[in-house]
Amino acid sequence: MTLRERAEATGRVEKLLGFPEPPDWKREGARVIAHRVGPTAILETILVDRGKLSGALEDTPVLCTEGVVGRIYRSGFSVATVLLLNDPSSRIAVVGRDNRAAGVIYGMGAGEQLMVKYVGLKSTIEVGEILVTSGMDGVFPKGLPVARVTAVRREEGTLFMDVQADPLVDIPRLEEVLLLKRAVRPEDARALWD
Amino acid sequence: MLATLWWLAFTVLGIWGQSLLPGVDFFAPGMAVSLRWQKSGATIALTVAWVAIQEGAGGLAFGYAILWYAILFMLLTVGRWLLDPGSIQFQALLGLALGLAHFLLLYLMAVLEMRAFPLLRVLGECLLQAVLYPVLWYAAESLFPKRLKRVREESA
Repeated sequence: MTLRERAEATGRVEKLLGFPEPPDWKREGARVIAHRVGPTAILETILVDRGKLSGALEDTPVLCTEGVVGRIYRSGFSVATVLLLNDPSSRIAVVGRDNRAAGVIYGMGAGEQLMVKYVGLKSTIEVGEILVTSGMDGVFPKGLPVARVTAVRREEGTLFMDVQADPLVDIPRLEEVLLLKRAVRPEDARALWD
Repeated sequence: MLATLWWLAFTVLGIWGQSLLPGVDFFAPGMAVSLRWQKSGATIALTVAWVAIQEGAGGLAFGYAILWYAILFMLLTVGRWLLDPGSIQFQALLGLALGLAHFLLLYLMAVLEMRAFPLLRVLGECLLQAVLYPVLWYAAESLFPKRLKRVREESA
């Protein structure tokens, strides 16, 4: 690694460490070691250098400084596969940061815009508004930035608006990410009450 | 020793190619070369290593790579009885069959796992697989050391 590359990497890692830790969650840095590889790479995924040995379990939220990247879909001993937010199988519950309109972000594939479904016709949502996680999916903590609204259409005869959004994260350029681990696992919460 | 080094280089280049063109198997031509010139034990060892790489790097549940290389092995074995395994025409036909097999296997796995199936992207990958397979086979066959070919011919 050249001195210049090391300096750039340090800058990125410092930025990542500056990311505020949500309450009851612990963050851990991870390096992206591969993007889609091989004939079985049907899903939009990346590989990171953290696995079960370091506590990176399935459904661990993955972020970068710009916002949500996805969640861990499959975890090995020392590496994990991250399902990216633009994969057609990905679903993230969100709300508008300003107007609090709730919806669910669907991935539509690489290079495609995200679709925001189930935004009620009476809700208020504006082009340019940032969508943040609502925490309703039980995977992501509340308030993480996910996408920016690019188009809003109200159509007759439907209950919901047609909303499109752009991810805030530049996925092909990802090199380091943050994993968010629960400080208290949901199954432990009951024990705390008892 | 030479064989080990050659296959190591082939596998490393294959991984590099696969990260450059996701959705395409760069190891498949290696199986054709290995089956033709090497003992079956070497082909089995190589296939096990490639299955582990493909399954570990891919996003699907375990099984695709085993089915994929089993189909390739079957096509190569049956095809050898009917056609000359050293001809580019045979390998081009095999490339077309692999393109189709890639589509069917991915569709099967996506349905079983209830995953979205990106039709256009997969079709593009199938086309690439069909076109690249004979080209890669030709390159691998030409670059495979003559010394190793002779060893096989003598022992056969």
